[in-house]
Order: sequence, then C-alpha cells, then structure tokens
Amino acid sequence: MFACLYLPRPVNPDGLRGEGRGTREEALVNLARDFSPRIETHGDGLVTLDIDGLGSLLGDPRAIGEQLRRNAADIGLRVNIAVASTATAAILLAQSRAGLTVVPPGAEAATLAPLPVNALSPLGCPLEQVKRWGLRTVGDLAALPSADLSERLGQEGLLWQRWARGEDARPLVPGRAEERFEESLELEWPIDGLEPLSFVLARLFEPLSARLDQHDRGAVALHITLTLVTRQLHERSVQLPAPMRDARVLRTLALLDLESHPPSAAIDRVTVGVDVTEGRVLQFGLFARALPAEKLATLLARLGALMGSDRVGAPELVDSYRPGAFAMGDFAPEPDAKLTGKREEGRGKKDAPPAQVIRRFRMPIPARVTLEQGRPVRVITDRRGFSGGKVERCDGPWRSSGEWWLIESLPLAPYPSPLSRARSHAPWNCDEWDVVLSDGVSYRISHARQDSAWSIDGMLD
Amino acid sequence: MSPAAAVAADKSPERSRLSREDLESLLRVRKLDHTLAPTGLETEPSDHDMVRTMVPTGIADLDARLRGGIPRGQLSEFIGPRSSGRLAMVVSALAGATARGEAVAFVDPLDMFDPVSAASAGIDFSRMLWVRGEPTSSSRVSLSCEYGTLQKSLDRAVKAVNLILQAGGFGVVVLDLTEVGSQVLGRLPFTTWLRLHRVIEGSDTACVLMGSESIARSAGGVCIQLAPGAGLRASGQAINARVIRSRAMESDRDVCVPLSAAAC
Repeated sequence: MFACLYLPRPVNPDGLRGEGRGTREEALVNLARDFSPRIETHGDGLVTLDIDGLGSLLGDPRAIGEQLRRNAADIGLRVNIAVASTATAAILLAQSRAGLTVVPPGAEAATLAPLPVNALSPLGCPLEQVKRWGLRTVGDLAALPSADLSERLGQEGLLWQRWARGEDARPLVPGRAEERFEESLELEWPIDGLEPLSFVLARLFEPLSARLDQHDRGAVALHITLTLVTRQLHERSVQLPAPMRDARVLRTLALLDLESHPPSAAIDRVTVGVDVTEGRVLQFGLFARALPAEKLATLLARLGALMGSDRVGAPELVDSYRPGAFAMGDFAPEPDAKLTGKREEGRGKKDAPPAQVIRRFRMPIPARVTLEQGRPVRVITDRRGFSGGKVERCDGPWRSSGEWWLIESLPLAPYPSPLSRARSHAPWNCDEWDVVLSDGVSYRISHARQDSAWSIDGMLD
Repeated sequence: MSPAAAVAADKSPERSRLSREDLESLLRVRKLDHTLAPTGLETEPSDHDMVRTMVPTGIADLDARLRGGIPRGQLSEFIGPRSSGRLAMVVSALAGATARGEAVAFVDPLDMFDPVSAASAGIDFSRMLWVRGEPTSSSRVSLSCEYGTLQKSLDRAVKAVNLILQAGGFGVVVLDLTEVGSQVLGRLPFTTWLRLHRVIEGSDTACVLMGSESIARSAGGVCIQLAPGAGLRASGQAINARVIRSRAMESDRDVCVPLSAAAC
C-alpha cells in the first residue's frame, strides 16, 4: 500500500513560485519520514511513501490518510493525499484531486478512469497525439487494445497505458535521508588538558568513523566544538587534504590542532562533526612507494605542531630575481601516473654533472671587504665560526635590483640593512660575488650599492 | 625440511654450504639480507632491482664504486668540510629520486636550503617535503642563548626525522647537520642514531646525514668523505669523493666529481 503527498504549487499574482517553497518541500519530506523510512521524492512537492505495516498502528488506509493530513495541517502544509495499492495510482490521484483520496485495492483503474488525460502529462505522455485520436480521459487510454497501441507508439505507449491503468512500471526506490555526521558528548565532570580529552575524542570518533564506513563517505573537514565551563564555545576546523575516515587519524589530527590552539578553560561538552564526500577509490602501483593520504595528513600535522605550520611544506620558486626568493607551498605529491614526462626528463639529465648548491644565510652576516681595482681581495667578519681571510679567487659581480618602485610606500629607510633586505617585499639593489677564501671555502658575498654595506649571504657547497 | 631444521641437523662440511644458503634464505625472508656480505657469485642485478635496493647518487663513477648507490633501509653519511660538495651530491640524489616518482624529505635545522640553486639540479619540488628550523644569526656559536636555540633546533630536527621515517613512504630522507657544531651534536645521545637505524631497517627509505664528520657510524650504511676542489660559479668546481665505509667494498680510491656552476 502506498500513499502519495502532493504539495500544490501556490501561484502568486505574478505567476511566480511562492516564497519558502524549498523549506515547505523539506517539511513535506520530513513529514513523510515520520511515517515511513521508505520514501521516494519525485521533486516539485511530490513524495511517495510505503505505508505497509502502518495498519496495525494507525488503522485502515483511510485512517492513515487522515493522520497524514492532520500532521500536515499541524505544520502548516495543505497537501493532497492519495492512498492506493500502487504507487502510480497514488501519484496520479494526488496530483489531480484535492484533499484525501483512498482507493480500495483493485479499484485503481476504475478510480483513475474519469481523470482527464492531461493527468498523464507529468509522466511524459504525448498529449497532442493522444488527443488527436479522440481520447479525453485516462480511462480511454487504458481501454485501447495493447497490441494496436504498441504498433503505433512502441514500448512507451504500453508504459503509458500501464500508468493509465494504475499499474506500477517499477518498484518504489526509497531515498536515503541526508545524514549529519556529528557526535556529541556531555561530560559528567569538566576535563582540563588534552590527555583526558583524547579518550573522549576516541569515543566520539569511533562511531563516527563506523558510520562513514557504512555510508562509504570520507571526511574532508573536521569541526570540533568545545563548550567550556565559562559557557564560551571553542570552535576549531581542520581541512583534510584527502577524504579519510580512520578514527585514529581523525582523533590525532583533532588533538594536534587543539595542542596548537588549546581551549582557555575546562571543557563541559565535546562535539565533533565532519563534512563528507564520496569515498575514494585508489589504485596503487605494484612498485610505487605510496604514502597514504591519512598518514601524510597526520605526518604534516605532527610536523606542523613540532616545527610550526609555516615551516613545513614544499618549496616553490617565485617569479623574482631577488636573491634567495622562494615560497612555501603545500606538500601534496602527485600520483605516479603523471610522471611519465618527468621520468624521461630525469633520464636526459642523468649524465649531467651535479650543480653547486648554495647554503643561504637567511640572516646575512655583516662583513668588511677590502677592494683592489674594484674586486674583493680580503673579507673580514667578526662572527664566530667564520674566519674570513684573503680572497684566493673571485667571480662577479652579478648586479640585480628590484622592487625599488615600492620605496615611497615604505616607511623604512630607502635601502634597508642586509637583515631586512633578506625579507620579501623590500627593495634591493646589490652586487653579488662568489669568492674562495684562503681557508678553501667558497662564499657568496653581496654589496648593497646604496649604503655600501657588505654581507656574506651564503656558502657554496 | 625447513631451513631452520636443516641448519640444526646438518653438520657435515658438504651440508654446511647448504646450511649457509638456508640461513641466507631465512635472512632474506625477514628482510635482513642486507647484512650478508657479497660473495661475488651473484648475477648482475638489473637497473630496476638496483633502484629498489639502492638510491643512485646520479654520479656514475660514484654509483659504480657503491655498487648502485646509497643503500635503502640504512643510515648513510656524506661528510666533509665546507664547500666540499656535500649538498651538491645530496641534491643530485634527491633530484634522481624525485624524477623516479619518489617522495623525498629534507630536514633543515638551520633553514639554510636555497631552492633557487637546488632547482638547477632538477629536483621536482612538488615531491620534496622541506622541514625548516629557525634560522640563527650564526651557526657555530658559543653564546649561551644561541647555543640553547641551536640545541632546541637540533632536537626538533631529529624528532622531525624520526616522524618522517616512521610515517614511511619516502625514498630519501636527509638531515642536514653540516653547520651544527660538534659540541651541540655531542650532546645528542648516541642511541639517537641507533634508534633512527632501527626505524628504517628493512624499509625502502634511505636516510642520509650530512655533516663535518661521521657521527652515526652505521654498519650497514655508506659513508662518503668529500674534499673540496677549486672553482667558482663561472667555471664550476671539482670535488673528490672517497667511500670510507661501505659493506660492499674493502677499500677505495678517490672519485673526482666535476660540479657545474651554481644558479644565481
């Protein structure tokens, strides 16, 4: 036995949809779910529900229909309700008749027969062609010989005829409720500190992870809300690099985030929720050393907590001539499948000699440099660990400057000290030299042209 | 007969050879075959097999001396004075690893890595995890405040390496200790390196330490000593590499490695 609820479209004087229809349709779906877990939504305010088994609770089909109507009226919905032994009959009657219609079992075709043939239009029936044949009611279409109809309209014609007779062409396809993945726990005693909180989080994440597993969903964002004894809310959100549902990983990520951003008072209530997406389907290679996304996310979170979140990532080159300019990006290695071109590139460079690499002093070391004929001959520095000495060989200078156009907007001196020059977004204008000192070490030194200050910027290794 | 039973039962000289094979097969099953000395009778491994057990440095002569490169699952070292090409050699190995599609990690306690010059070596930075410590105004310092900062940076860096190795999935993990003074390094418990070695034993990760002198002295890893040559940005530089410890070889001679100029 099926019931169908139809929320007629309220038409305002302009012919536009009434306000709040989306909310009203949501209420209609919730109303249907109150009666049965097996509901199918067809959109446009039409919901079918399977009411088998409700008889022992509410009575006969009419009583069920009455109860549906009362509950709808209680929440301010004026709906058409039809109860029939087939879903198709219930749908057609709910869309065509106001109020409550109850069809006795076996009387579906007879009940549908007087309806105008227009009632089939939402199902895709070609009305113009049918009307040209002189058919006016659903009963007229139901009474046509099936073989002749099939010859003229094919299988679709037979389908429309089945609908006209109130027969179901397919079973009800129940939809799942939009589930909220959230768990909450009220604590008997306030807890202070992360260690006891970890046990609470484990208790919350385990059922949450099981539900994610059941629904084949993965968490893409984690929301933690702590209600403190001061009645304040401590809310944190963690964006996850890949969909995941491992309870231990989620708990670890939540704890690591809370370690970095601890609550200001003891905790009364803990709520965790996740934003979900479809589960991942992964195909690993036979020989690839894959780093699972869960492990990578945990590793990055742990490293971020240890070193600072801005100190961990993948280096990125920037479009600048500033000495030592770089940026930090997210570390997210791409899958192996995209590496074919790079592998070839790597083979091409196999026989090339390795290149010298600079160790850069992020805080340049001030130095005094003696020049002869415009070239450095001696480098002296007071900094411990750097002996300085006579310049055995030198290459340079390599002159570069940039972002001088920002000078006017900066409140600082026009060309700042070596230390501030190392910062990004500060103008620079310098000559760089590579020198080998008498101790055999190669340094990169630079000369700020505006204030004639020398500094050791790095070391070639 | 199971290998273990064969080992227990056979005492005759003819059978002792079989027993050794059984023992070796047991070690292989438990992924401990890296402790076996090469007999010279093995068939020449293919390039693919070699890459599975070794990380090539990208320098053909040196890889030939090392029988393939730096061993995976071991703690290896590149040592030498300043400007001896330690970083260039390591960056070359990292570039090769990222070109093969492996993820690599570089733990930099003093934040001295320069991506611009390293990019010319061909590293795919999207596959490189860079863990940066706090830069100090000077590295080899003796002021108490800087000394404490340096010690903290080093402790954090070692913890970071431990985390990365435990996570697994990286082909090469590098810890740069070149500018950390020996006094500071001496404060680390020696078990630090044993612990790191136990973490990676049997894994596919090669852990590389860079320093002025050998500190880990791992039995299974290799230790390559580098000496500076002459040269600068325009002309490049030559360095001498000597394998001073490797299970695969008894003694060594210097390998001369030319370096191309550094990028600006």
